[in-house]
Amino acid sequence: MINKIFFFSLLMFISSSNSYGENIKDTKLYNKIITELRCMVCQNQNIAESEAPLAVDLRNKVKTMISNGYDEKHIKKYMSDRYSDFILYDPPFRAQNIILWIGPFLFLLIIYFILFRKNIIK
Amino acid sequence: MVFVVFVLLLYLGLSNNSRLVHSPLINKAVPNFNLPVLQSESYANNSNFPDDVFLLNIWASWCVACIQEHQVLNLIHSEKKVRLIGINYKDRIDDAVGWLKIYGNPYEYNIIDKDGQLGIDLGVYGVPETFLIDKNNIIRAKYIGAISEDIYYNEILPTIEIISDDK
Repeated sequence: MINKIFFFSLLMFISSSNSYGENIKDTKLYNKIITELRCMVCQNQNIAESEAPLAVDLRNKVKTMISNGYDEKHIKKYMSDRYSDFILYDPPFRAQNIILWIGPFLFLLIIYFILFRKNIIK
Repeated sequence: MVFVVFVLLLYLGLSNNSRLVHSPLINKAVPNFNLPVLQSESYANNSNFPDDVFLLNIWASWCVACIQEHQVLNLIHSEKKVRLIGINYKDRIDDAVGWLKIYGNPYEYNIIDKDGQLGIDLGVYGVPETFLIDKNNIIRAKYIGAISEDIYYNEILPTIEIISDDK
C-alpha cells in the first residue's frame, strides 16, 4: 500500500514538472528563463505560468533557442530587443531605469534624513 | 509636504498606462521576413514594401477588436492618404479570406504569418497592432490595439505629414 502511494506520488511529481527532456542542464536553463520572462498579454504572470497563446509561442521559442545552443544572455536580449526591457523580470541597469534601481535607496535616505532632523529639533 | 509628493507620485503611477509598452523597434528597420501572400501564389519580403509611407496592420479573423477597427481601415483605404498592408497573424487561411469577404479588403496585400514568428520579431502582443513605416522602411510609430478615427486623424495623419518630408 505504502509502495503504491509512493509510486503514485512519484508519477505525479514527474508529470507535473516543467521539464522537456533532452538533458538536465538545458531543462534547468529553460525553467529558469521562462520564469524570468513576463507574459506581455497578462502582465502579472511569467510565461511559465501563463497559457496565453503568445506565452506558449515564446516558451517554444526559448526551447528552440536553447537546443540551438544559445545562452541565457542571448535569449534574454532577443526578447528585450523585441518586447523591451519590460519583458524581463530582472531589468538590466540602464540610464532609463536608473530610478528603479537607486529609487528605494534614495527613498530610504530621504526618510532617514527626515527622522534624523526631527530628532535634532527635539 | 512629503505626503503631498508621495500622493503625487502615486497619482502619476495611476495615470501612466503600463499596458502600453514603448516598442524598442521604433526607428529600426522592419525585421527581415519571407512569407506567403494571402489569396496569391507568391511570397513577399521586405523588398516588396512601397517606397512610400505606409501602415502595416496586424490582424486576425479570431480577433474581436479587429472587426471594429476594420471600419476605420476601410475609411483609410477610401481616403487614399496612406497605403495599407496587412499581416494576417496566426490565422486559418479560409477564415482570413472569408473574413475579408464579409468586412471588406482595404489592404494592398496580406502577409501570412501562420506560426507568429514575424509577430514575435515585431514584438506583437496585442492584436490588432499597427506600425507606421516610412519610405526607407524604418518603423516610425506603433499603435497597440484598434485604431480609431480619432487616432487616425489626430495622430497618424499628423505624423505622416511630418515624416513624409524626410529624405
